Amino acid sequence: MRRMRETRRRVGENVLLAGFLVIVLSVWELAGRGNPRVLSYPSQIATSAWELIVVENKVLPALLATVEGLAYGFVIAAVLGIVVGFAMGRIRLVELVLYPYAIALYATPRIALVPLLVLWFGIDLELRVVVVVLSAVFPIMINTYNGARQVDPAYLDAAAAFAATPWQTLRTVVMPASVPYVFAGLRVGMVRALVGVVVAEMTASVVGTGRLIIELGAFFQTGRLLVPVMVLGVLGVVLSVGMAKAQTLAAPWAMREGR
Amino acid sequence: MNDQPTNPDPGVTAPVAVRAGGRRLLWRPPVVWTIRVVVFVVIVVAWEAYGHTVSRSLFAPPSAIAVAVWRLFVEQQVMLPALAISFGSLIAGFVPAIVVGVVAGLVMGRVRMIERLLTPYIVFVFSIPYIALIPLLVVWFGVEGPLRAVLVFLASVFPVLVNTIAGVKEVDRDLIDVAVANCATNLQLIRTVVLPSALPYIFTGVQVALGLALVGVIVAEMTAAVTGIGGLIITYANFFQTAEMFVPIITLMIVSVMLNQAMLAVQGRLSRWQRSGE
Repeated sequence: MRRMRETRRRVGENVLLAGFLVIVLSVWELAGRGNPRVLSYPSQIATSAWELIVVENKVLPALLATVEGLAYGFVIAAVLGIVVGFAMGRIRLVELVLYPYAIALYATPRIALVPLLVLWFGIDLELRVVVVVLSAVFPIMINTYNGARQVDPAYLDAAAAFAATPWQTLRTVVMPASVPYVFAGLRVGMVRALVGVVVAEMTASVVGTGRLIIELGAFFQTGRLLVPVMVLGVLGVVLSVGMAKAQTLAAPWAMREGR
Repeated sequence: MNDQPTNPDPGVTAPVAVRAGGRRLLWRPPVVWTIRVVVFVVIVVAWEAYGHTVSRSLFAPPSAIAVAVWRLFVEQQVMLPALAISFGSLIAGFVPAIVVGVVAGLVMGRVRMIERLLTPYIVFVFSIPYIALIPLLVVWFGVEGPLRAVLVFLASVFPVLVNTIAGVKEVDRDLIDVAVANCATNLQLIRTVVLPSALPYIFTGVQVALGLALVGVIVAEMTAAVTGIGGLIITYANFFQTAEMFVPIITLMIVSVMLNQAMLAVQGRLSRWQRSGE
């Protein structure tokens, strides 16, 4: 009986969600047809998507270029951020030397450095990777640092009492305890990385999804412009769902909402 | 609250101090500050030395930047007006973002139906890097004025919203029950129970949002309307005036750090109040 009521509630809710979606799309369609240049509308976006993705095949190569820069940059940022973050969190001298600069760069919009980076790295893949690294590395580093510092002292004392070497302490106590923080950092870093790669592509690059948006935007064809924009939205959703999944796989004990 | 012993240096966690009892002597303030100063000097000297070996259009040594600081701040007086413009856009977008984020967060946190209906759309829209919306927003708002505030708003509203929802859901059920049992109206409930207990969450969201809002201002000024601090950076970059370009970049760094520290200070007070309330 209870089960049935629960299922009925579920079904009712899904019907409601679907109904709301239909309403949103219909209102958009009606409003957009009256004013296509400003709003566009779902059916126009759908035809534009077919044209751009299948007929002209412009979206997939652009997306691949974006993902390429994102992947290289994010891996470098993750390794660098986690290693330096743990070093700063556990070694006082490293903290003294690096922390003021890390926190200053963390607080600064690194986007401001893009013009400088164009001078140094040109406008190709290197630039995108560097911008992604700079965008993503500091949230990862600072979160890892915070995680490494907030380990329960009782665990550290236990490790010390059993004469654990610094490496053993790091591997068996500090690292597992820091996982929620590290993943919180990785998730923030991933969002920033996506923004970074798109900025690099929009301001400097000649390839990628950001570049495609600029090209289509120049023609004021809102329906076509919205296709790569929505592709980026889907990419964003996929990446954050992927990060959450990765966290459950890598550290099921640490499924705590991080900041 | 005042008669409780407080940690003299909240920056140092207890375990480090306790465990490394002997080594604590090593990290006295004079030693710490010596290390900090030495590191800073080494960086500046290395930067200066390296700066003289590469082209002036690619890199600038600190001495050249110092000259540029004098020129831009005092002789040409372009920095302060630019800062004022950037600050104006920041506030015009950030304040509405906080208000909308908190109000929508309170509603969505309290009313499950609305949360279920809106969450998919909000998640999707905010998964789009807002930067990608700039060409569209230019069509909607033009290049001048509101566009920059709109970008700041889009950049910063999401963390406030998400954190507010999280904070509202974490409110102690018992407290709500007490309020309801005492016939509190919805508004009273929000004002006296929900908002105070969600405040630390909201504040975390605001702090994250501030960083994103700064990025939003700079991006808007660099890509859409060439003005303010971001406009200066891109202008000097286009003319390969690298020493001049460093001036707004470094100014931006200092301002960002100061804003962030101010935010942390307020948050520190807030969390003390929170703890004393327990």
